[in-house]
Amino acid sequence: MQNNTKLSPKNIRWFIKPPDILLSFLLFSILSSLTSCEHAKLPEASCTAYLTDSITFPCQTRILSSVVYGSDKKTNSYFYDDEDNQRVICFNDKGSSIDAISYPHSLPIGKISGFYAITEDSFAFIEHKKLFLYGVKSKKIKGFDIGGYGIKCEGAFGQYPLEISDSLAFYYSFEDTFAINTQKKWELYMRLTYNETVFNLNRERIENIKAGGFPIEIYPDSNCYYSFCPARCINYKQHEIIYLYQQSNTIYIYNYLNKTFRKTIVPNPHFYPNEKFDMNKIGDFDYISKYLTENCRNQNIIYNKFKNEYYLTSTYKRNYENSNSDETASPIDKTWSILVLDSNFSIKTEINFPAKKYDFASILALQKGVLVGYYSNFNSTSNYSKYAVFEF
Amino acid sequence: MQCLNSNCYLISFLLLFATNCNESGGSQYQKETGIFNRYLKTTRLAIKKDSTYLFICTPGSACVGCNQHLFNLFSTAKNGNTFLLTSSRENYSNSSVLKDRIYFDSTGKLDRINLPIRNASVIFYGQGKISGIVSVNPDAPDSIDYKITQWLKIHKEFQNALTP
Repeated sequence: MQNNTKLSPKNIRWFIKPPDILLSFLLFSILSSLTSCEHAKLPEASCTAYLTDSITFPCQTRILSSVVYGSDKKTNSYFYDDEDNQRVICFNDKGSSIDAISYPHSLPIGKISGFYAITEDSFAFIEHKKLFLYGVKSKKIKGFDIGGYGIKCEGAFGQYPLEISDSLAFYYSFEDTFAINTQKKWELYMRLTYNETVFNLNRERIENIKAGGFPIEIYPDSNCYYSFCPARCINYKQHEIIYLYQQSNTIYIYNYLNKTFRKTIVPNPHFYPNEKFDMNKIGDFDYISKYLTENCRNQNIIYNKFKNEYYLTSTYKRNYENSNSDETASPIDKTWSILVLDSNFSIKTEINFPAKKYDFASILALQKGVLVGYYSNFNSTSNYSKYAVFEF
Repeated sequence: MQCLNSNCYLISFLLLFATNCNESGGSQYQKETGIFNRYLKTTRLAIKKDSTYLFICTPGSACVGCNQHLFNLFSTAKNGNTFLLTSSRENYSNSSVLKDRIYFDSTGKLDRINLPIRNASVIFYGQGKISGIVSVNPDAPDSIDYKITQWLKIHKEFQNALTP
């Protein structure tokens, strides 16, 4: 029996025998290779940032929408002037020109909560419970009253709440009427207040095809993971609305023709499931900041109608506190990536981004690839904004 | 269990004693005080070691209503020992009377400092140490008024920092 054997440098070798060491080494090698195999499943994109400094605006802007037109496939990308809320700026990709489009002053335009470029000279936007169609050249405007559906504010940050395909307009919104400070209120909020409203624009009167809270199937569990709404995008070709929660890799797909749900999982090996968020600390901003920094989070899913593929943006966890520093980290200090998914949600490639340089909440799908905003765009002291185009 | 001989007990006792001495001799906010003092040096505010101060902090991460509530509290405090530390220029630099007691942090340090002040907060500071930190509850911003009043009742030495 080895019960009487004391641990000392002399006899420790009897506890870790040479065959054990060999076995451990073999096990370690196998496990390591397994892990590296898993990571190797994600082919890294050999993308290049081009035109890096060519799209620079002398004001703070937000990405709105893009449209491709003409036989030579010109691209117009639209940006919202955050300093002058009545101005939309258009960047023409072929001519590299920047044209400012101002709203007609006769309209009571405030902050728009959704914008979609339909053609090169027409777009739609939502402002104060109204959907407007606007012709840039004709200066004609048509408004639809969408009040009464409880639309209070736009979708999550970095989302595209308004999308239009053929004659259908999709508007994603949610109520913002009460404070969520208990688990019960959280569950109530999740079940009652999200809207995906679909309009048929060809009818004389806007037809509300679907409105109301999401079906119960979309809620993964009753646990809270802090995020208050899933990211969503529309795949017009397959008549599907795609939902993604920040805390998991499960994608929920709703077919709005068949009215059926299905779900699938994106096998992102860098993404770890989130810890449960403590609802009792919903008002504790320090706890929230730590939680969002120390957990992986899916930020957005965007459908590229030009390439029939999806872009899933994820931020990866890191330590909040640093013993060598008087400062904590924050969610913007996290590295992040864009997973390029095909139309079946299989991973095609991955683009990794360093922390703090590019903004994961400022992404637009283009015919070439993606337009990504620089992080400094949202620095309160900067008075310009800059974008890079990534092609892959 | 053999290692738990008398020497082990003695060492454990000494370690425990040393830890307790350290806690009772220092502030509850010892670590926070060190961090905050280093931050204060970068602000170049005229802080005297033997005085008491209220630092009202409105970082960029805080809710707008919470910041506004504390700013209102700050703007009514006529005493020179109440300072506003903010990383948002909005609304805060208009008053020439208050301007000298406002430190605008353009470095972003206020938003990242390792103190529990991610939401609008008040730091009670006296004799070079932090004595307390209270934050606004976003669901009930007014409730901080009660917290501050209670604090000032117990810690009378801070009353002069807020009242005229």
